[in-house]
Amino acid sequence: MNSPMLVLGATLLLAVLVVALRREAVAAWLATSLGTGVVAAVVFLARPDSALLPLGGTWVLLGRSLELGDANRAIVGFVYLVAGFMFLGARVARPGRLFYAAGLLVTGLAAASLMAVPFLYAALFLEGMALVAVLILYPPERGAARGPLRMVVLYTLGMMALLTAGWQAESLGSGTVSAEAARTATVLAVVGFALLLAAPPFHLWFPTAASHSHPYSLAFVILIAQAGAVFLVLRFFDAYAWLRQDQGLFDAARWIGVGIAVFASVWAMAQRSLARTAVYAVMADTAVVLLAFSARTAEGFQLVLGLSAARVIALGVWSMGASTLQNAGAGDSAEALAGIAYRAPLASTAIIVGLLSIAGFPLTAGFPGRWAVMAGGGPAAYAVVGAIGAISLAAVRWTSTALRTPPEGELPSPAMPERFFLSAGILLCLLLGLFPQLLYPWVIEALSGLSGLTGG
Amino acid sequence: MNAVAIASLAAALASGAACATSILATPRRVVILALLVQFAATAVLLSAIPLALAIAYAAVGLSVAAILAVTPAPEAGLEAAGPSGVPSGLVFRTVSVLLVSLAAGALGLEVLGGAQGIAPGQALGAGLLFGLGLLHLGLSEEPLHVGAGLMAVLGGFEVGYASLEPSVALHALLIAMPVLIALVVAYLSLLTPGVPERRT
Repeated sequence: MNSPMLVLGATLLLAVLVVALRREAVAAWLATSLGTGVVAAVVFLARPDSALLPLGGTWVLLGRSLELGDANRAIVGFVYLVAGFMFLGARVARPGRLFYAAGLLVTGLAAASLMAVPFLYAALFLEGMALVAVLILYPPERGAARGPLRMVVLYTLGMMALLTAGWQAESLGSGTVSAEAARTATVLAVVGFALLLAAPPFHLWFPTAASHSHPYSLAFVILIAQAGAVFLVLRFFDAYAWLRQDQGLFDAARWIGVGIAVFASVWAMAQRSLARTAVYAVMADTAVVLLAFSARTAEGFQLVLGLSAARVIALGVWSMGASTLQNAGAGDSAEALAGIAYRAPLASTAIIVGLLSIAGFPLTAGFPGRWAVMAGGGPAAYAVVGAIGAISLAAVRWTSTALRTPPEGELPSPAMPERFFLSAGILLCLLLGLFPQLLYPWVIEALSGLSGLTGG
Repeated sequence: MNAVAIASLAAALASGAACATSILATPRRVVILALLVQFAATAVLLSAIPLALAIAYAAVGLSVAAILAVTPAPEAGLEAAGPSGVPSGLVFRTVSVLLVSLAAGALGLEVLGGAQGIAPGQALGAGLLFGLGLLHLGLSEEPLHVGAGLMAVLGGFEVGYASLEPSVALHALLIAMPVLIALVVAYLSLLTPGVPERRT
């Protein structure tokens, strides 16, 4: 027995258990939430030198291996904690009957992608994750949708680009490939990462899923998929020194980040659908992550993870509020949500606070990371300020919609668990905005294993 | 030209023809049959990986066809399959298939033709599968057609990649991917309105 086998085996067993418990909603919820928490604990505790869980960190499969060690322990634990956080709220959000089982498989595949050695195999696991994510985004109870395989198509193309880039990069490492091959590898890697990070024009699955999927499912898939993709980018740059030394690549990343920030900001402000506003706000957040990355410093790379962690809280709170409204039959369009703040004040507050936090508005969880990016100055700072302003304006517009004259009719009052989760989420968002030291120092530790990036 | 080169050239043309058929056809059973032929022809092209894996690839094709064949789905769903704004008439699709076949075949021969360990037939087959697969993805949003396009793209990629990457584990994972795609396509087909209820 070794720790990757235990972690992935336990995840698979939990998924099977949850399928068996599909008619017992509370039992399935408890098994998923507690089980994911236990697996996260195993990730942190299982070490070869541990007195409690003395397990080896390598699982050899068909000549290749899955490894759980100091380089990836924190980030694998992070993925399980994010999943556990979302599973905990799923009891109230009620995203669909396949959510727990498919969510566990998605989490396991994302974790496997982080443990894959050579790390280029991660692309295959991310492809598998995209396939399982279809079950979460398009559950049977919501019927047929248009373009349900867009995410799979884009992830497949991304996987192929990364596998080819990796093959060329490996050859380059041994000094047998020309500078032209290095350029080809770099271009393929950039295209592959753009596909996985849903950067425009490869964001096509975002609006489709936003229009059809349950908000909570959408948030879950975005959080897990993008965490896997972001860490794959970091591992790629950690592995290849020639890539890290290419200043032109980081300059390009900065301007691409600026471009995405402008695109996402304009589109977020133009949306008449709440879910679509949120996905474009997430895209603007990805742009800020890219801008932090383009600083090419250890602090910048740490900020990438810090921003990813803040997104979990922000998107989690937004999706909880949106789910509460949708479950009560409130709809998603501006017309349907006019005056909603009078009928569902707590859920409306969660939506606005979540959206402001994704925007990075001061005093919310998303702000401290942006402040650090802005401190670097230059075009990145202007882009971050612009994105904060534009997405916050979109949030203000939704606030104004929610505060319009109340329409006729009542929404069912939220039950006690819903009130608790919504209030706790809003408080957490504000608390982490006021005291970022509660989150950032812990999260940036996740990068300590990547010595190429941290200079360790 | 030796027998192996002739066989790979024939397999490349067969895989391209099968892929083109799945783009042009609307009856489900024709699309599924074309997929089966495409997998068999691609398996012949996969001579750079161990024989067992190439045979496994053909078996994967059989599994894919079986999964899709037993999935209840309405024929009508395949008619209005294109994304909005994209022409979907038979003439347009036929012309597109012809143009893309020429371009992708030439590109495959140009890019992969000179690579070590790749026969001209394999380069042609990889180009045809990849190009026509991408065309299929661009012309359709219906799950069966998108799945068929994805499998063609993956097949084309695998034919080219097999000569570059020696890892058996990687190829095993890659050739298993179409089964997962077929399962997801089958799941999505069941969500299509008009699917007969399953008897319990």
